[in-house]
Amino acid sequence: MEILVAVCLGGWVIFTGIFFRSFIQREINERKNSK
Amino acid sequence: MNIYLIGVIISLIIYLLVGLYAGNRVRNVNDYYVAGRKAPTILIVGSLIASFLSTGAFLGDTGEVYAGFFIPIVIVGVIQATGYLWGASLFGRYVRRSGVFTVPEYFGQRFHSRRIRKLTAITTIIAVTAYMLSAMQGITTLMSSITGLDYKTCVIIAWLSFTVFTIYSGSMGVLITDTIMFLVFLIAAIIAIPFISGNAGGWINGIHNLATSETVPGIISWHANLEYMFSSGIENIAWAVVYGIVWALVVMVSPWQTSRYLMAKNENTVLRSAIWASMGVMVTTILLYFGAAFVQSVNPNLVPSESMIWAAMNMMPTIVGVVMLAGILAAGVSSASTFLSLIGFSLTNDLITSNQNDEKKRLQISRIGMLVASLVVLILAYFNPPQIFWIMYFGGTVIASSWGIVAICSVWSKKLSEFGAFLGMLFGFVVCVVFKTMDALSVISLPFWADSFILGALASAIGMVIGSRIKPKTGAEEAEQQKLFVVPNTESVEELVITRKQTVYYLGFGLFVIAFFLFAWALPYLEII
Repeated sequence: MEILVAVCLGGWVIFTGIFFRSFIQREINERKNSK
Repeated sequence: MNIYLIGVIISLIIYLLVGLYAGNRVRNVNDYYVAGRKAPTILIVGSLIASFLSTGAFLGDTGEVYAGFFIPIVIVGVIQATGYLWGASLFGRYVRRSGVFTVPEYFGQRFHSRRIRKLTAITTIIAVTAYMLSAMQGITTLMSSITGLDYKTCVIIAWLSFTVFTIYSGSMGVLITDTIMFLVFLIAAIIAIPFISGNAGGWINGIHNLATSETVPGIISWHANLEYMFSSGIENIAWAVVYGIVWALVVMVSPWQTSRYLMAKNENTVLRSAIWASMGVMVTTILLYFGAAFVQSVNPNLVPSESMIWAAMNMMPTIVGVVMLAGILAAGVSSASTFLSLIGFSLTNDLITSNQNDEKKRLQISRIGMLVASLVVLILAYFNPPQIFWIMYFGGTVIASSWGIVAICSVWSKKLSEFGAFLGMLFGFVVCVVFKTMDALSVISLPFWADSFILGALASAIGMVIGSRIKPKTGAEEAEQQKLFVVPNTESVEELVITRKQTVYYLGFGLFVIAFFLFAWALPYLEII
């Protein structure tokens, strides 16, 4: 169970990072397309 | 006079001098309220972390860990810190884009509504005052422990330690002193923890000792000590996840966090600051939590909220202890200075709106407003008993409950109207405060899944739906919302690409978190169990 907690803690950080990165990527795409 | 007191006094004098120097550069209200909107990433990161981490984290949270609640507090710490990324992308950058001085002004402008501006200003003042009192009491507890002086004398010293430069320099001084104070407590946490773990027999031995602790059984197991809060591990973890989300929402929308973005020199600074602030908060808090657990294995007979103060004075070389105590004090002073500036700004910019066009007179009014606010806080603190942890929770959760959903929807909802936002904030605030007060007075006993925050957020959502049905969104409100999505010409795509690249550090940090908890906690713990 401790191992699961360790993986979940870092996993949540990675998930947040992926969301943030795709949010920025989407904006980059939109702004490049609107040029 | 002991060496710890001398160190603390020297640090306070440095903050005062730096703050006063920064105050000399204040030329107009733009400098005073938003530091000229030209702050680089390092200053925004410093101020975000310094404003968020207060004595509550250094004394309150570590006290919870010391008492046996290690993993739940770690879970709250990690989840809340990710709130920076969610907040900056979903709310913070749009608040900055609106070009306002304060967060209540953002809501007023977004919904074309003076009453929303005033309501958010009032909720800011009430919640931030409660939060500020807890920061002041933390500073006071620390000073009292070091000096042996009585509580009331320490309240006055604590009050003086941040009011003078905050009133004089406004955000210009707060931004710089916050960053210095953040560096002090980050360094304190980094250099102090090896000494604390060393006293506990080394990191791995310390984990082994805690795993078999008889004084606080289960302190570092996944379920924590089952006599501390709930008698089942699942409930403890559920509590942690719920409160992690609550505090992530505080990070996302609270005025003491989002107002930092108003000072950023551009939107990429907002986004990059969120990445580094999130990692900075996690590193600082996780180090502290491990430290507090190790203190428990060395001396189990302390008052929990004073465990880190004891550690600074007994578990490390004197000079490191001085830095540690100065760091804890810095955490309290930095938050208190931000809170005071927010109360003052809400008072003079949003509640008492002046038609004064003379910049010098507006500046003067703002400073007088802040002085009045600080005197009120001094009087409240002077007569209040020291209860760090729960008072802090009250302040933080009220804002998240009242504003949380409305703030995010103010950017993204297609249906939310002015009346919906007003009712949402009002219902959320009233319900949260009423239930929190009844719970505190033991009139009712709420389970964690029906915490006053959750009831308030639910009431807020209901208020938003009802209000938006009764008075739907107007064309003017729609136009104001659309303005939020117009990217300023000054924001280049090339800079955004660089920001995207920085997210790789964050993903790598996530992997580091997994590795750290596996090798520094889970595996050593399982070895011995």
